[in-house]
Amino acid sequence: MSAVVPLTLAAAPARPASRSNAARTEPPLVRWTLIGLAVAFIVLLLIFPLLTIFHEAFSKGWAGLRTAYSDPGTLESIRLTLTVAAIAVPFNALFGLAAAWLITRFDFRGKRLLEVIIDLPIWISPVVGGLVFLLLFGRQGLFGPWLIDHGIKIAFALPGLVLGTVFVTFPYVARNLIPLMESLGRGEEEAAISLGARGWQVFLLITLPRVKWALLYGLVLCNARAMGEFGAVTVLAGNVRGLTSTMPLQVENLYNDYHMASAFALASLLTLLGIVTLILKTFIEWRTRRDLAAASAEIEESLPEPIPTP
Amino acid sequence: MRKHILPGFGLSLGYTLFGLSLVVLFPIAALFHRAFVLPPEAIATGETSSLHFIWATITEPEVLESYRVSLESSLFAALLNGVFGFIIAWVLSRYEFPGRRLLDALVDLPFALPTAVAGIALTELYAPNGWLGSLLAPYGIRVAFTQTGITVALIFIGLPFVVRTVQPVIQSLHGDVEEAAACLGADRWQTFVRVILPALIPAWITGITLAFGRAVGEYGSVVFIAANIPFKTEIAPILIIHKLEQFNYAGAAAIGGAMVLFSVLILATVTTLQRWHSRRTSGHGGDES
Amino acid sequence: MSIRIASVNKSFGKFSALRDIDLEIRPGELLALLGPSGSGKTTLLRIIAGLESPDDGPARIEFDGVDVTTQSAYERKAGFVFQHYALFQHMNVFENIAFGLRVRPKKVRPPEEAIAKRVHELLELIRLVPFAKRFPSQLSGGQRQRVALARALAIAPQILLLDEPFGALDARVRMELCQWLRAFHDETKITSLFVTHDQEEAFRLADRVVIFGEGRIRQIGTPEHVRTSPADDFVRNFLGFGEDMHPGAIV
Repeated sequence: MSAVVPLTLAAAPARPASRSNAARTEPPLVRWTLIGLAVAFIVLLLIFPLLTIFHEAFSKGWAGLRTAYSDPGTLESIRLTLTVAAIAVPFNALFGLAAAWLITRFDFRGKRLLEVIIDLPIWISPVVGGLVFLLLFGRQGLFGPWLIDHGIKIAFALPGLVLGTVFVTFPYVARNLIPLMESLGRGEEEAAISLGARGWQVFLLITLPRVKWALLYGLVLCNARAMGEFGAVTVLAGNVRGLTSTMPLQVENLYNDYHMASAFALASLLTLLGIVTLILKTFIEWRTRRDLAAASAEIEESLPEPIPTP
Repeated sequence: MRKHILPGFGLSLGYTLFGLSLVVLFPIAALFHRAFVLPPEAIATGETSSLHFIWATITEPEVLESYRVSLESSLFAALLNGVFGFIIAWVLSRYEFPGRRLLDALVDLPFALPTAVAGIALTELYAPNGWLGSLLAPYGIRVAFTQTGITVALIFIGLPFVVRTVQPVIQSLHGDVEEAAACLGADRWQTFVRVILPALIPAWITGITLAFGRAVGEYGSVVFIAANIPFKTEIAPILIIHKLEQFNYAGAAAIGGAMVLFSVLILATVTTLQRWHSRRTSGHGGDES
Repeated sequence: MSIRIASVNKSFGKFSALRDIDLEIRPGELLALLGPSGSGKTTLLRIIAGLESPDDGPARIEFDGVDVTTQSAYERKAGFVFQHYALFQHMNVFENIAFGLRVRPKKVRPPEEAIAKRVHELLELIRLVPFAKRFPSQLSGGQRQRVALARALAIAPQILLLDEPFGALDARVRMELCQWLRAFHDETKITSLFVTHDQEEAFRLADRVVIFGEGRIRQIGTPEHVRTSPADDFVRNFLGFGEDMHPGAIV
């Protein structure tokens, strides 16, 4: 069992107490006070910053936005971010699938240690995440001289950014798949084997369809974190501005140069990405819940109708 | 060793270990290795012991102050998230009200939003001329560019950790225990304190620890609102970057290594907590003879 | 304590769980609420306990003539034994049983020594004295059942309500607890109601049986009476008498 990553899918919906059941809920005054506190906290902490982003982005109007999005440095940063994500996410996806298969379908010594190590990148500061690759592949790094001799640039270039991003987003796909595959059990896959299916067939025909939503969500999350990664790429991009800036770095550049509207315009794009991530999560949870309910409804149809207990 | 029934053990083990080694293990080893390589400047000042150099680096006054700032702010933020996160988790799990689903989805925003975006948004909001900053200024409360600002940013990014850890446990509570308590004559407050809360404490503490551990290493959300005033609002990751700018790789590695050790400690704590937590939630009532 | 239930209806959304329930329960009797799943018997039990409220209307529930219809479970203090026992997992057996006494308001709370004495008496009654410090997760199903009973009895309730008390247990344990409950009831004469879908159990234990079907009471009577004169086809089918079989005939 390893550390919890928020945004893993929840299958259980909220079960609000029925109004007539005083033994299971608080008096209305208490309830509404708590609700008020919760809402106020969230509005203050979460919604205000959201509004700020869009407000600042529009502070120079539509013209300002057009200028922001046609700036070559900004466009280059978008291209770079997408490139990094396009490499990092599939790598982590493959790793995540392999690791999830390994951990949930086999028993071996050291399995728990493996789980812990897989989780490690979440706990390490992203700056350290970038640092370690600098120390390996930077000019003064372990492989520095060798790389220079062979004309290969890793740090302060695309490969370095990819590595740093991979490090930081490493566990996300695995962490989304493992609990689900654990609870689904090995039964169906073992049945397939006994019927003569080969390894890859089992994986593609049995396993993947059952975890497709969790996998999709893991990819979405991994992508969002990859595109938004800041600490690691700060270290690995060096001080060569404009040449190796991803979107978050470009946001920082614009902000530090007091191009506020442009900075927030670019930030809005990233924010929209975050919002899409949340929408997708809600959708996937709803789908999972619906699929689970449909499966158990089929079973229940054969039983007499139970008393619905609130 | 038991023969594995399902195929692919070798392949998946191989790929997993390859990925782990390349991305995690080898780089971190390099970190510790580099920490022990004395930089030229240190040798020039007559330093001969790597260990001594490492110790000197990680106990520099500025570095120590950065630990203080990081730890203090992270702890305070985690505790505050503990209180409000609990309330939010409770409210989302137990009550129906308009907008509940929207609120539920929003809780994950700090996790889905890039840290730099959060950073500049919070700075704009709490700067003296920002929406909230200007409201607080007349009372002499300065948020941006102070440690308070750092704490606010850390509250922002830590919230989902507490809520999402406690929420599933609240949802899995069986209502009949509460009914039993009521039938036995306990009023709602007594039921909450004596019956409900003890079941939630492990998850609650786990969530707070998660938020804390996450906050300590946070960079993007904090660096803007902190303004990196030396000895006042510098967090540890900033100092790593400073060292790098001075080409003091060993120094950076030393601080980085210390941070990794701290992360490992937090991770070990959380793993232990979760084992405690899952032991407590074992089984409810009698379904066996 | 006598209980009078009049004109009780209960629906959950569109589903009507109970319809026009009228029932009189005599002091000291052991009453079985019998019927198939979904017939409303558990709902009625919960309404008596105060865990559900009947639909608005003429519904009336009286304990010894006192109208308790609007009282909550906390006020009625009926001894309720839940189907899955609902023991407090983080408390040991002693603390579970002592709970009802410890949460009393300070003015009426007995001192710790008195509480300990009472818990010990109950532990002897359910024959689990050496298990006082064990936790629910360390007990078998039958043991948990007994602890749940003792816990309910600790507050000296005037009425004992049991929801499918023997449902999750194996046959031997079930038999033992059945006999124990009957003996206990004979000795204490506490008014008791239990819900079951097992007619063997109902007939063996109860003074009177109330047969439920689709939210209505189909028949009330002693076990012999119900067996020899089933009121209608529903009762006949439920008890397993076919249409061309005479009740009372040796099957």
